[in-house]
Amino acid sequence: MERENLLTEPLLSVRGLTKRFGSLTANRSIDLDVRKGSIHAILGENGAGKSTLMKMLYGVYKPDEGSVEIDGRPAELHPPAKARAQGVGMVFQDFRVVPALTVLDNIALAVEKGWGLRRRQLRRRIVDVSAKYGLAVDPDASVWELDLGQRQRLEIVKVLLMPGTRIIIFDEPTSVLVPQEVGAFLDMLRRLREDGYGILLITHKINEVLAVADEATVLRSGEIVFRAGQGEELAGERLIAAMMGDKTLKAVSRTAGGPDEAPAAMAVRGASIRGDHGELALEAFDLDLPAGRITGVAGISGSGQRELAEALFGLRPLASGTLEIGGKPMKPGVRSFIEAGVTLVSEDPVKESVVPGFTILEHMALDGYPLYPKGLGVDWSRLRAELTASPEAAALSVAAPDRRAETLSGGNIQRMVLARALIRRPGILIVSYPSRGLDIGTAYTVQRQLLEAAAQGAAVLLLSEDLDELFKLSDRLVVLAGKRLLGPYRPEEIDQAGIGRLMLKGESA
Amino acid sequence: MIADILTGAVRSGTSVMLASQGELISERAGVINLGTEGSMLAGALGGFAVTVWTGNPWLGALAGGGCGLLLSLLHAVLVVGFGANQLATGLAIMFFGIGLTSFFGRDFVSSQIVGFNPVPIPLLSDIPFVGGILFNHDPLTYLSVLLVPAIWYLLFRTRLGIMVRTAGEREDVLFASGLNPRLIRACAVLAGGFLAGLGGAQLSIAYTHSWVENMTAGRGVVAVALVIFASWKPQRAMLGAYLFGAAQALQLTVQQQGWAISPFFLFMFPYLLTLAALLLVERRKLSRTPEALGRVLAGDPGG
Repeated sequence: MERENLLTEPLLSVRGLTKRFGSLTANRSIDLDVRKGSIHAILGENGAGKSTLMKMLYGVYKPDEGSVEIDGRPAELHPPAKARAQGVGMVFQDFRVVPALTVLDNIALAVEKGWGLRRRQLRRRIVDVSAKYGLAVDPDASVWELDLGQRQRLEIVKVLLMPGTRIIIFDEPTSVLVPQEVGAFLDMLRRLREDGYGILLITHKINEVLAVADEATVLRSGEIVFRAGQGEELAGERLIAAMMGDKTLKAVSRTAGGPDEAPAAMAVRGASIRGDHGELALEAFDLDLPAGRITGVAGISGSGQRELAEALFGLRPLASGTLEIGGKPMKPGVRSFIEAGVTLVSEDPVKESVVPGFTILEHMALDGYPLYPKGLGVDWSRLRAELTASPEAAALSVAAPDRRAETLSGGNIQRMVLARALIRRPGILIVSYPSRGLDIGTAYTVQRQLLEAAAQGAAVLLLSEDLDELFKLSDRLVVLAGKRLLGPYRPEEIDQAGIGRLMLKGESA
Repeated sequence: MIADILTGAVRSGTSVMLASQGELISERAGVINLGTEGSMLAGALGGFAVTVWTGNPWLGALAGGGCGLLLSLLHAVLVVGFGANQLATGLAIMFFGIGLTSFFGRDFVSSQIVGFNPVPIPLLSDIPFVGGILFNHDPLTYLSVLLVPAIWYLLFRTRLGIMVRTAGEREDVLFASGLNPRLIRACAVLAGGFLAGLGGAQLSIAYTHSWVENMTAGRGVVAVALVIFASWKPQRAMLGAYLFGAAQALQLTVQQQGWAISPFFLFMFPYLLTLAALLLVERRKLSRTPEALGRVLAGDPGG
């Protein structure tokens, strides 16, 4: 798409922005312009310094060096209240909303002033903005009832209604959307651009950048390594190359599976699972996990993924139906499942799989390695030697054995938990969102490890919100929608849009 | 007799109702205040004393609210300011209030006041049966009834109410909006203390016209329980308070009739009935504990 007058004066212009945390330089002399009526994409892997930069632009961090100009005049953005007063709005990845309140209440809290509230007037403003930009959201719905896409629309409406907003920062906005919603989201971005907003789009999805961005800046290790748009053509391969640097990426893809009639390591028949509040989460489904195959599970988040994973690991009893492993019906209780060779990587390892004060070695001993007795205790040095020599731990670059979990980042914990699950050589591996929070390079490593586990005969159940990942790895795909489990489908016979339709509407689509 | 009991329900339930409305504001902001009992006692004594000195029950009611507020200030400082455990602090303040009022109240035990007296509303109070029950009460009771929709409006229809409820749910969202969650919580606790003190004053200067050591006899604790069982809804807390009042009135009536029931059982009865009734109407699925309060009830120190 050709657009004229790309060289309008910048609304926001930063020069030489630098931010250090101790000895680490998170951002080094960043120059960046956000222009009126233009979309500027910021690309980079995890840890490239994108979020530090955004937090400086939104005033959360105070830059150590560098200058900021708004409309050509020097400006101060720290703290966030100042950034907002100058018209900088931010749509966060983790939404800043109160689930117990209604949409209107949440917006009133953020947008209005004073103690009173003119509800009718505010409601009209919400409805107007929603209609103008196609941001359908019901002002009277409680936020806890909304799905992630709706919550994001609430956030955007909120930012648009804040007085004086001219620059909007989107932090990984499409990570919470299903494929069907992404198109509408990009349309909305274009409409905002037409209305003269300056947009900063942080993302790692190249396709979206190519679809809407006027300019792109690539960050790596806290520095700008590539710019495109101003004279330079936006080209996908060049952006990827700039993001990855000299790391060469071996693309991951599965080799087409062997005969389809692999024996089922786990077989579920007529099963129903209840959610936390006793409601049915999944109704009357059958599921086979064939040995040596990866079964992918797609679905909008909150469609029963957690319940399914917990039930197949024995954490959550089946409300009805049968579950057999290796042809034998399972006794209830996690212990018998573990003994039968089932391993679970939970969807929130930071919360569910980690003792903050324990070291990595202790976590490995808790659940993973067999323990070798030494006197009355445990042979820690042997355990340490095994961990250090483990190819899985090396491939996933797990942090040093003596690091305590509370000092690790989310991505580090994710890698440790994955390595621990793989080290057990499980017969049945249930993995929830394995590449969540990992950069592309590490995500590829994780994906290769999963393929490797399957090649060695493990039955893998892969729950993921990333359709690319599911299509790349899965031999069979099932879809969770409307309390039903649909499929299996063969990835060769269905495309992403087809899966997306099933996720949204179930089988009637 | 039924009319007597229903009249008594309102008359005796008003003090608990006022305290529960105050506690509701405080809990909506994420602070549970067991010191409500102490605030009620402080209000009962302070209100009574000022009425004795000035002869003006309105000044007395105001002073009662003020005394309740002062005691809750202690809770606000310790819990919101220093992050002390809410439940432990509340219990300590409750017993502190009992001791404090017993000590300073000795001189007032035999004092006499005119205080507030029932003011029949013209015409309405002449309606048979209903008129006497609803429209023949002291001014504080009328005020307290108007207070319930006012508090509902404040909490659910104003931005101030949204701030209070957000303080009880997600304080980081308040931070992000440039508001100070601690200040909002502290103010909610103080408002709760004021209403508890006002409720105590209603007890001493409008209902019994006397001061007796530990005269609230657990009404403040009942008020705290009511709020939780009422799922943090003002109108349900009001109903619960009147139910408690009705049980009190029933107990008095039974005693007057001279039936052979142990007085100890009769004393127990209102509390038992209130709990039983609230357990029946309570539906866990519908009620949603404010998140910050839930952390306190689950054992987090809070603050």
